[in-house]
Amino acid sequence: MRTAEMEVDMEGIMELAFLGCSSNAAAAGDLWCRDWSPAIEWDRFPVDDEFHGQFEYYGLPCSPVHQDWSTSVSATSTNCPGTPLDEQPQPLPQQAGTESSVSDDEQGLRLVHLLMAVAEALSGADKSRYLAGVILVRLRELLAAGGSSSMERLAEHFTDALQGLLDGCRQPEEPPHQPSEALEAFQMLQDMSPYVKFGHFTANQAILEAVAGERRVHVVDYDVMEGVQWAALMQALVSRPQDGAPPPHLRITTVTRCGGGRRSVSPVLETGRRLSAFAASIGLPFTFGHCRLDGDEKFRPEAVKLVKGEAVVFNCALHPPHLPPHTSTSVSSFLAGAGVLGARVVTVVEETAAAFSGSGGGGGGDFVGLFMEELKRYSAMWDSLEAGFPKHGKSRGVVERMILGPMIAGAVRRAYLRQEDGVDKREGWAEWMEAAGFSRVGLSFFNLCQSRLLLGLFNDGYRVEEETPNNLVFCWKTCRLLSASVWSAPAIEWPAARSFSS
Amino acid sequence: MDWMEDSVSFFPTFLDDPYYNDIPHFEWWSQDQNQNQSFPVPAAPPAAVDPQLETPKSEFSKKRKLPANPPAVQRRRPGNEGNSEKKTHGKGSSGNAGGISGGNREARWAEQLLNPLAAAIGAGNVSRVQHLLYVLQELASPTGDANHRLAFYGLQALTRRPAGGYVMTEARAFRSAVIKFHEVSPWFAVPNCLANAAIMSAAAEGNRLHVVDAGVSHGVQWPTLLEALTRRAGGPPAMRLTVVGAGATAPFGSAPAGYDFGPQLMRYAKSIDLDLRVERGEAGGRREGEETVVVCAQFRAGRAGLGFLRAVREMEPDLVVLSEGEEGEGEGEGFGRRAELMWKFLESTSAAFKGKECEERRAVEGEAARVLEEGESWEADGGGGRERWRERMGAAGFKEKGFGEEAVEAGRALLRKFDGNWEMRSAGDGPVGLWWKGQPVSFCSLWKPIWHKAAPAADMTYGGGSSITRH
Repeated sequence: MRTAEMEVDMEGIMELAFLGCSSNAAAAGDLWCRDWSPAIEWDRFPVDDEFHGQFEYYGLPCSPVHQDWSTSVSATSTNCPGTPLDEQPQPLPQQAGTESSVSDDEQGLRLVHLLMAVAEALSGADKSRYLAGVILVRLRELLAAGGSSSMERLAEHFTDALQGLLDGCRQPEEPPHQPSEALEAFQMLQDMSPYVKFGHFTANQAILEAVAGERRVHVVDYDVMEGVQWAALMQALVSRPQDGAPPPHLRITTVTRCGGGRRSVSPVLETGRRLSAFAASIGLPFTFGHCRLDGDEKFRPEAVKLVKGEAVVFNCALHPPHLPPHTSTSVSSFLAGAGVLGARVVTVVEETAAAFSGSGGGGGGDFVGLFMEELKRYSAMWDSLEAGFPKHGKSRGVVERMILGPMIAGAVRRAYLRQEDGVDKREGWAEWMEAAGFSRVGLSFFNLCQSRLLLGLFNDGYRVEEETPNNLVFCWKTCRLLSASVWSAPAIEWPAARSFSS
Repeated sequence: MDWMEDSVSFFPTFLDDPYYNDIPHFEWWSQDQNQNQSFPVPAAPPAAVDPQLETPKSEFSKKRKLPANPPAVQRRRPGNEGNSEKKTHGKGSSGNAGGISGGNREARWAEQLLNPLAAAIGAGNVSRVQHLLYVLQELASPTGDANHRLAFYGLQALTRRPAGGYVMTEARAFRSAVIKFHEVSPWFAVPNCLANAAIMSAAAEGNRLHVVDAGVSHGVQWPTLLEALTRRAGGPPAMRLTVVGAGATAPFGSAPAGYDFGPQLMRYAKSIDLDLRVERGEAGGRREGEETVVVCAQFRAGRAGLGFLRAVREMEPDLVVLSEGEEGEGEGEGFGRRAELMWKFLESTSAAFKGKECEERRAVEGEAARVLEEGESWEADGGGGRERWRERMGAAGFKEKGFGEEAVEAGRALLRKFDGNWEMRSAGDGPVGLWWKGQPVSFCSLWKPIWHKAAPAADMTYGGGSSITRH
């Protein structure tokens, strides 16, 4: 029976994938993109376990230790960064002895080493902000004088992020751009990469399977954003007939953050209106509601109105690209609430550690290690966009500036604070879920195949791995990016949950 | 003793020697008598970073340990010089004011990269070495501030590039550099001045003077002495200057092959009616008749080998002047210590040359960089500062002698012409120390042979009657 579903639902899948996409996505069918040169081959940066995972011991592509420095560090070198005003201004060095300008790879390597050195200077026992500042000055010089290759644009964002740390910007992260601009860039990201959609269709498929046959479905969503995920779910509910029965009644309750007053609520209401209109247009019974986190950023299950007979589903998509990240208090209280309300399934989509889980990359809260992971992660994202849309430089530039740049700044800052506070959440919420008594819900083979198919429509470089039965990991080449996992609430909570019905 | 007041004016005369008419005339020195009105130490960081130093944020701790260096961040001046210690500062900004002082280790970023690199090379950690090489290469520059320069020279030393230094310099440029350095920095100028003053005292009487030159001035020390001798009561003595080769491998001790300041110095002496003979030789041997014998070992004794002090003692000199580098408190060891020494030097040249680049500065710094390559043997033979030297001199049969008040005053007067971060510290009968930004740089000391002890030399006679009356 499963196979039959698969064949029939191809069109449904396509619609799921392309709902809300512009026609650009159709062009993503160009699967040929293999010819791309990575700025950095991360595999050549082995983590030396002997040194306890300290990333400062990354290896390098082979170049002899006793290099002849006479061509690069000569007495006539005119490299003079950071000179006082009195010193005679000199142009940046032309490398004596090299026939042509420095290759992109060499330049990229140089930038990575300098970035890593800044991270080192900002952490550990020998912290030196002074040294960090000096290296950042040099980084800026190189970037200003260089071209605008992928690696250089990426390095510029990381340079800015590190400079932000140095300048001690401790203000809460605000989206720096106009919300409408950010939204537009977000949509471009969705067109160019399955990064966002992956979470949607994996979670939706798990939800559909869990609520098959139910008359009433209630989705409690951590952050509805623009509701793209639910439009796709609605479409699926309507187009997958369950033994001829009419589609179930769908309720969506979204959680909004406290603070921001009316302003934080109106986009949510707007989303609600749009979803309601869409539901009406496809003939799906639909109700939309929202509740607030309380003053402590905590989610209170009592705030959710339950209806007798409905199957409750919790969806938790963390770290949306274009919004500030969530606090761990709000997340843990939300997930705990899922247990209290007896959720049939809990879908969690989150960023993963960039290294393979078995490689020893999880060396604890070492800032240099965390920083290099973020560098690797965003390098992968950069590459994935370039591989998919090599000629759309302008669009990629918009996404880089509006979405990825702020993400980088946030990620670097979080990594730094994590190192300072000693809190290590790098392993994701799986541990927490297990400890809280949630059970793992296996993802169906169908879900996995669907994922593979959809990713393949974008680019061969995307992969999905089933790391544990309830967890799919979305990767670009060897770099893990996102994880989607499915859980069910601890059974013991159910009787208590039923008593909440209003 | 007024010869010290216009000591500096002799340089132009010296330079006007017709034989060397292509030497640039350093006009700025004679014109600018207030050479030292306050100017900022131009070792300031780029403006973007500077505010960080002044407003420390609480989340970044300023106390940190560096490898091979002690935990103390802020150095305090040691108060162990005794109450009689007198300090003199140069003009201009007072020591340790703002900017990068010797005590603020965080601002000495070059060492924070070089010391780990030295350690990684020693440990054979290839990936770490390569990482640090990448970073250092981007920051190293022979024309930046003291940190950038230290990174440059340190990188050269650690990657074993053949060092330049004076021996590789062309003779004209070498001479120009030596002279200019003597003019803009007290590093050697003040110890030479103190030495000359002490020699003048020793040569107050007598018809013949024999000076053994084991110094690094390459002739620049002597014109002032010669001129002062001509003003001695009773006229100048006949003088013999023996230039020895011992310790010439020390930093600043070497010269381009074949360089010889002798002929020119003799011509100068002739022009002021002083009978001077300059010869090459070695320490040791007996005195020629009734001579006042002075051995002047400026910064080379440490490399002169174990026999040097013995040979000097054999000469039964009337005076030995010994100047050497001084150790700071709790400095590290090995490369870290050498890097720290170089740091001090580069800071001082930055001030001395007022942040400007020139051929002479490059030559001087390139020569100083040789200190970064010194082998471990330096520690045993030449290191340890004045405490160790006191032991060595004592073992060689010498006892220390104090500087006279006039000599110390002469040094002070000269020091005033230089940057305000320089200090001179003297205490009673001990050596005179030269300090930069609150850190000791060198000491100048005087010694006389001990007569009542059996000396290590085999044929030491007691009873050299005429010798005893001189003290």
